[in-house]
Amino acid sequence: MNEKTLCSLYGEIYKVSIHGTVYVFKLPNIGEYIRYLNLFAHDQYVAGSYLLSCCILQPKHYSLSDASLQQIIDSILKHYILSNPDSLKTEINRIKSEELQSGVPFELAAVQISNSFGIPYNEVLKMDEHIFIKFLAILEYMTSEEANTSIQPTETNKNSNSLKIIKKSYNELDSDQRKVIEDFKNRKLVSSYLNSLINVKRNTT
Amino acid sequence: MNEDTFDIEQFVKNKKAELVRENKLDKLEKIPLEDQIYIIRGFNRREWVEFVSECAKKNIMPDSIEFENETINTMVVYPENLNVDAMSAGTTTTLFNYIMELSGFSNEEIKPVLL
Repeated sequence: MNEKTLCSLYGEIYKVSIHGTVYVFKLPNIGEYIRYLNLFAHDQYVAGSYLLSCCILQPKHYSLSDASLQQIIDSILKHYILSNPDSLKTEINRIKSEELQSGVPFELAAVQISNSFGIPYNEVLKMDEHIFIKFLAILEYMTSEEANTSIQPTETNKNSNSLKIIKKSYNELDSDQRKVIEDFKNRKLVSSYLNSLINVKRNTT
Repeated sequence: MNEDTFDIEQFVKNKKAELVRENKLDKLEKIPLEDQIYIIRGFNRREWVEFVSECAKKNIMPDSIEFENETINTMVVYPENLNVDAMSAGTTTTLFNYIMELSGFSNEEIKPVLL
């Protein structure tokens, strides 16, 4: 993917050269940043690996054990935190307060879809509500322990000021949304989902 | 260790094998300074993160002289049991810079360019 395409997909992207290797990276979105902060509290190395996996767009293959990548982590955080500190603080407080309420913040759900299905985060944000709900429903189905009987898909509520995910029962879903889940089951996409999860995990550990 | 009988190549070979077993960066470099050969090793990212974190717990901040000393004590594999305080300032700083370079760090802060 060339730089022009990456710019159109991710907006603000940066390029840096370290020891002859050119890295192209984006800044984390708010959901990724919060996840990074949560991971950082437990394991700084894993947190850094997660951030690199989210932000480095090129090259596709690099070693997470390379200490020089620490400079990219520092640079990403510096650019991100300094880019708009007031807005960042407000956003973090908003999301954290929402996390305490029932439901999942929209941004975190979007990050989850992006990570699990390998869809660029900006593309997830552009999804219309219907498609977004379908992906959420599939995610809920896949992560449900009793997937066949107690699916708890979710729905966004864009009417409220703060975007929030609202739990919705399986029977309340539109027929086409239920069909997506059934298709998913029939095509046995579980294994591909698991593979994508394993890949995400591999990239972040 | 007796310098006359010391097999430096064998030492490097053994050390590299040890580093591989410990999942550490198996890069070693011989640095001749002031009639003394020093063998240094580099950090991988995991060891670097853990090292900085351990230093922070001891209130040792990067860019401090204590951090330089800790780094040298940890990363100079030969000669063993160095007395950093007895070494010349130029030698310790040079060793520290080599260790950082071997670990992949640039001498200057990297400057990403907005595309």
